Amino acid sequence: MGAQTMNPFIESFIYILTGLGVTLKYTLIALTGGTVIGTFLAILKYNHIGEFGVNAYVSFLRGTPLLVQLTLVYFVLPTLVGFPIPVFIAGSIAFSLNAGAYITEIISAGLNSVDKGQFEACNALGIPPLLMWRDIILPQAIKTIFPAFLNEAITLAKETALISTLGEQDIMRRAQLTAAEHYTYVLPLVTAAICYYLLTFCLELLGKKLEKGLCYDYSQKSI
Amino acid sequence: MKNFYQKTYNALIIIILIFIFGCNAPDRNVDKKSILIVGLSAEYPPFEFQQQGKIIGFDIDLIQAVGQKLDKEIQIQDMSFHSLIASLHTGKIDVAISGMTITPERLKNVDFTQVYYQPSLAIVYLKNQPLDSNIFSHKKIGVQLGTTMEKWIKQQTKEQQNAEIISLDTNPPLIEKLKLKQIDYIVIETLQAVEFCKLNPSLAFQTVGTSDEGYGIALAKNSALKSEIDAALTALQADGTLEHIQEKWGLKQ
Amino acid sequence: MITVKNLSKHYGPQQVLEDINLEVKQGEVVGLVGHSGSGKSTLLRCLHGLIAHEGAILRNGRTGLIFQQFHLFPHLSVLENITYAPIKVLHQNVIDSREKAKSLLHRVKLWEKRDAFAHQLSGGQKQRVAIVRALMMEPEILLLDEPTSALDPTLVQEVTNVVKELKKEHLTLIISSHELSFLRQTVDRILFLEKGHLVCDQDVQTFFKGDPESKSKLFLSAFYKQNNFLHSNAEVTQG
Repeated sequence: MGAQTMNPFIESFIYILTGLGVTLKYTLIALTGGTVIGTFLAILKYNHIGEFGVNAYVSFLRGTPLLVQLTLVYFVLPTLVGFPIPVFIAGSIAFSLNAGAYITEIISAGLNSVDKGQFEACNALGIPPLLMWRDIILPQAIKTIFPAFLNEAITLAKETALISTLGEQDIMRRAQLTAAEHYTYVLPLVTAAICYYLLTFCLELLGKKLEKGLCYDYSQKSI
Repeated sequence: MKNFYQKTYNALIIIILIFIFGCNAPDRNVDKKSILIVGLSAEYPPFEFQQQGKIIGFDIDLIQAVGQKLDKEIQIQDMSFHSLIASLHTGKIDVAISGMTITPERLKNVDFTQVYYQPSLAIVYLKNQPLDSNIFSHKKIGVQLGTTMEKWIKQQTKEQQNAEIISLDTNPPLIEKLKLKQIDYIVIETLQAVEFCKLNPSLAFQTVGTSDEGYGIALAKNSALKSEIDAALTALQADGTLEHIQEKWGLKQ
Repeated sequence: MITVKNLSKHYGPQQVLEDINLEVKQGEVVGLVGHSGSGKSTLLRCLHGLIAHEGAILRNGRTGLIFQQFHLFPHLSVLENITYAPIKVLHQNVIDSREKAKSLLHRVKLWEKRDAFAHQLSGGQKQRVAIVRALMMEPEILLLDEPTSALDPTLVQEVTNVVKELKKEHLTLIISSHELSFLRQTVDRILFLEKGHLVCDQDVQTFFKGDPESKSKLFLSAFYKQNNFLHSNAEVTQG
């Protein structure tokens, strides 16, 4: 066996690193699902439609542990709807719902940061709601929304580690299995930490780049 | 502005594609009756653990042998130990084999087959802090939560008020605590003790006997599979397969 | 051009406008005066159709509204600001729109600033952009909400010039303002609002000569007192 296998450390490192794909998958899904939910609910809330429902949803999803939410979706929801829910779907739903609650508040704050006069100006020019939101309001709201949103993205990247409890071979689970296999504890966990940091670091870099493109700097003095 | 929305739209399409491809649709070709979905937590060598991407171990070989006897295909599902019982209840898995000790508390929620292995207990301690005659009094003792070892040590220290038992989910953190002298010793399965001491020269172990409890295969309450699997286990014992697997993994009974 | 019958507006228990009746003919230039909170802004918003109200407003043409704070879109350039609505709302051709924008910007001497953003413009420049933005929608009536208030008092002359340009286009104008000297130079008629009521509707000469007992005279004198006789000097020199 000796000559054929790689250095076990490197082998394990690569094994844990490969979990990045799974972690990234869940992170992106949660972000997308959460953004769709969050944008929709934030606009509703801004227009004072269904405010009670929106606030109740946000309150519950932010006020209960994500692990509990994941467990409820994976184990309890199937009994309510009558058909089995695989791990991937359960994780996607739970993470999206949770992210949605936080993102609703982020976008809501962003919308409130836009001067009411902008809405008036749009009305005065006869600009219809869809165009108003898309071209005038949201681009201005992004400036306030973006930093908090990036924050949430980074938090999500780490929170997806919970899917390891359901067996998904993400970074966390791979680290746990490696720890058991080699009867060691610290090294696999440090490796996992490095992998998560790699991911969040890339997210931050990407975020900085996006921020330049999306958030117009109003304080620029030069033309 | 248009460029931004274009990019967002493209990104969304990509994400939807990842969603579709990431979804592992179950294999519908095989009839459900001939599959046995087995849950385990691959964190407990040599019973179940992961090596080079594959999950192997004593429990895996045993359940494969059972599957052969029942003419069923085995599908392994790894998850955290906590999730096993919930998964049995909700029908996500048919059976769970994971070095799980048969305890009265667990029997309230699940059924078990007959015992297929009785673990041998050992105490792991620091070489420079050998065990004295009062191994239970004024000691901090580490043990894995929910195991036969935990039960044993709790029984042993019932009379002593001054023994502190620290139960954690898995053994590796207990080893770390021992090395840091935060606990005095650990009670674990002999096979694991052997491996841990090999890798940590500062540690030594001593066996203290065989547990009178044992590992069993867990099933949902009133499962129809119980009698079938019990029959299979009996057969495997009779024809020597069980012993063969035990030898393979270094388990002596 | 605009006929207003029994216009009223209330926000909850507060009555902001009550039973306003007036008529503005095509080409007229009307000034709207009153203390803060007398309902001037609300009246202009009602005339534009921006807010709901009781009573009837009959319009014989499109209105355009220019806000006191301009409310330019900060993330769009000057050119983008003024062509956005014509292209997206009126579905104008992009090239035609740009051509029109070019000619209007030249007239207000802002063509060189077409790619600038709002924060790079002076108050007067922002106002001209706001006016062009409204003009691009081809209104027949322009409503200006306190065009002098957001500006440095020394820039009032600039606004006067702009309004004179607008008059040349034979647009109907309704301008609310505190700057009486500015109004004297620009409007033909004064509407005086007090606590939501239209208490005075006179041509500009009559208003400023004013009968000593009338409320308008009281308003004028209080106003002059407040503003340290600067404007009473202007009154004397007015031709």
